[in-house]
This record gives sequence, C-alpha cells and structure tokens, in this order.
Amino acid sequence: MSVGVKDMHDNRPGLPLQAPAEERARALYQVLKDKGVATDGFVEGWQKVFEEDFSPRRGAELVARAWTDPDFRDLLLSDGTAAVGQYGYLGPQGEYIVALEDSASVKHVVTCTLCSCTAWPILGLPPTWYKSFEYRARICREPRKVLAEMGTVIPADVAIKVYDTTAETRYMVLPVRPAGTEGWSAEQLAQIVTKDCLIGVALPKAG
Amino acid sequence: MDGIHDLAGMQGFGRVDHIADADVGGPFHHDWEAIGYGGIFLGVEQGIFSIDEVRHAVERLEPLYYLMTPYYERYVVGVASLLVEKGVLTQEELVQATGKPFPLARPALSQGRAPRMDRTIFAVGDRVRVQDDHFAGHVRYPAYCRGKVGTVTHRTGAQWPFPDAIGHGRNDGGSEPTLHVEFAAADLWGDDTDAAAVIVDLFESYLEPA
Repeated sequence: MSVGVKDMHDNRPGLPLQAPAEERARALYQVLKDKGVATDGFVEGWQKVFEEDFSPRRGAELVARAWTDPDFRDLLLSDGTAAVGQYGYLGPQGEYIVALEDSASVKHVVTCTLCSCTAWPILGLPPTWYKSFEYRARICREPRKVLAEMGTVIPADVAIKVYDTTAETRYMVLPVRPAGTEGWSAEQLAQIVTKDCLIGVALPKAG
Repeated sequence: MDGIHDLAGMQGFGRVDHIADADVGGPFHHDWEAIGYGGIFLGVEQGIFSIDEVRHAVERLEPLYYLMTPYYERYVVGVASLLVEKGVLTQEELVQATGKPFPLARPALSQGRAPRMDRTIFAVGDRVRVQDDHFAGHVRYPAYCRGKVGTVTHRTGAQWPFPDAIGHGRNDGGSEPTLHVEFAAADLWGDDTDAAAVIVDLFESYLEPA
C-alpha cells in the first residue's frame, strides 16, 4: 500500500497543528509581497512558464529530429547541450543535457532518487508519480518490475540501465524508433513520443 | 546527511501509482502549488539563497513530517524555513498571517564543508570509488553508492559549485565537473535487483581512485 498522502487532511495525527497547505503557501507569498520582497505577479509569471513553456512536446521534437536526421542524432548524443541549444530549449533545470540512446539491447530509465530533478525545459515539470516515494525507492533497484507494473514490459534480453539525476546533468531518453513508422514525417513521429517515453518508462508505439 | 529523503533501494514500498502514458494533467493541480517553486526563483534571483540550500532545507524537515507532507507543500515549508533563517521574514509573521502554527525545517546539523583540496582528476574509463563518509550536512550522493566502485562513463563539460559548501550558503565551494559513474547493479543490491546498472552523477570531490 502506498502512504496515501493525497487522502490525508491537515492536522493529521502525527503532524503538528498547522493551517492547511494552501493557507500557509498564500500567507508566505503575501508576507513577501507586504515586505516588498516579491512583486505582484512574480509567482504567477513563473507558473505561466512552468505550465506553457516547459513541455515534453519540445523533447518529442528533438527525438523526432534525431530519428530523421543522422547528423542531428550524432550531435544530440555527443553534445546534447549544443543540440538542445539549437532549438533555444535550454533553461532552468535544463542547462546541461545528456541524451541516452536506447538500443535493441539496452533500455534507459531516468529518476531522481533524492528528490525530483528533471530536464524541465524539454520534459516539463516532473509528474507526481516520478516524485513519489515508491518510484524513488524502487526504480533504481527493480526497474524491470516497476516498468512492468506500469504496463511497460521490457524483454528479458534487454538490459535496463537507470540514471539517477543526483547533480546538474539533466537527461532525456532517445527511444528506439518503432517499426511501422517508415516514411513518417518528423511531425508525425513527434506525436508518438510522450513525456513517459522521454523519462524512459514508456515506449513509443506506431499504432 | 543520512536523511529521510535518501530513499533509494529501500524495500517495502508498493506500486507506483501510474500507468505508462496515462494522462496526469498539468504540472500543478492547485494554483498555490506554484508558490514553492516561485519562492525558489525569488530567493535565487535576489541572492538570498541557492537552490542547493533549498534542497537542504527540504531534507531537514522532521522525518515524519517529510513522509506525511506532499511534494509542493514540502517546498513551501523549505523556502519559508530558509527565509526565516536568512532574516528576510520571521516565523511570527507567518503565524500571524494564518492564525495557526507554521512549522519549519529543523536546524542544519553542520556548517557545510569545502571541497577536498587534493581531488584527483578522472577521465572516462577510470575506475573510481565513492568516498565512504557520513557527513551530516548537504551532499548529493545517494547512500547506496557510498564506498562502491564504478566506471566513469562521462565527464561533464561544465562545472558547478560544490553542493556541500553552497548548500550551506558558503562561498568556498569552488567549481568542479561531475562524472557519470556506472555501477553494476549487483554491486549495489546483491542478487536482489533486476537492473543491469545504475549511473550516478557525482561531483569529482566525492571520488577516489579505485
């Protein structure tokens, strides 16, 4: 059983008396504004960037380009930062990029066991499950089982390598281009590359 | 620090609550959730603290509180804790704003430390051992690789301040590259693993020749 955090309310047994999270968060922001430390709209401005600019659609575009342009693929693998920079997609929590190329014998999976680091600008902010204690505890030890539970069965003859994001490198997975996509345009290919494919817990599917 | 946040490899956790490619919505499920992250950018832009200090503040939450508190809330409390510690605001001001207690992170157990002066410069292919220490401050190596031997697969072309220093607000962290070190999963977890390898991104000062 998971801890069930989402079902808990404030003033849960074991926690100190405190106002609900939303009240404390808004109080913090208000005190900062009252003191002139934060300007009106500061958080809302960043929220817009988080929600609208940082997106796995960018990562999908990079994958599709690498699948259709061998020179770009080589650059993405040898100097991911330069490749992503060509698109203007570098940014906070995405300043030094390394792409991990899957093959017929190796599958890559990304985690941040210490907290939540992710390549924000090209993958988007990390989803709740990626930050969960279950994923952080288990993925670096039993990734094959965790992926299978999520519906992604990796063949037994494919080795799984787990990248733990513990410093400033930010990773994206370059999955194997699936059979059945011959002749597809880069735009069509990008549509089958999901956020979960870029993290490495899903495989792109042709149909 | 050997903190509650360092969860990797712990046994007994259940399924990850997600099916691959299922729709999970946007990054925030409530508008207030952006305040923690917004507070990080505010503090960093104004030179009040570093992101590493925020990481350390969250790691300093009382362990039971950490486990029982959802992600974005942990960042709201971490940012608030640092702002109080830095004298930007007071806990009393936060309490007055809600009319209820506003719990904060526990104090740091350490003053931090500078990187080692005698670090070895490593290259791709080198065998390295992660230093076997139990420093009580902020570090960015997970406990599972401590003392373990692996192979360098990448040396970063960029450098960053040493987290054990900048995570405590110190300015003697210098800057150094990190190395991607590949460990055979069996060397980390014995025969209780289905991974082939785990690759950890490690500051050079954490490493010794193997």
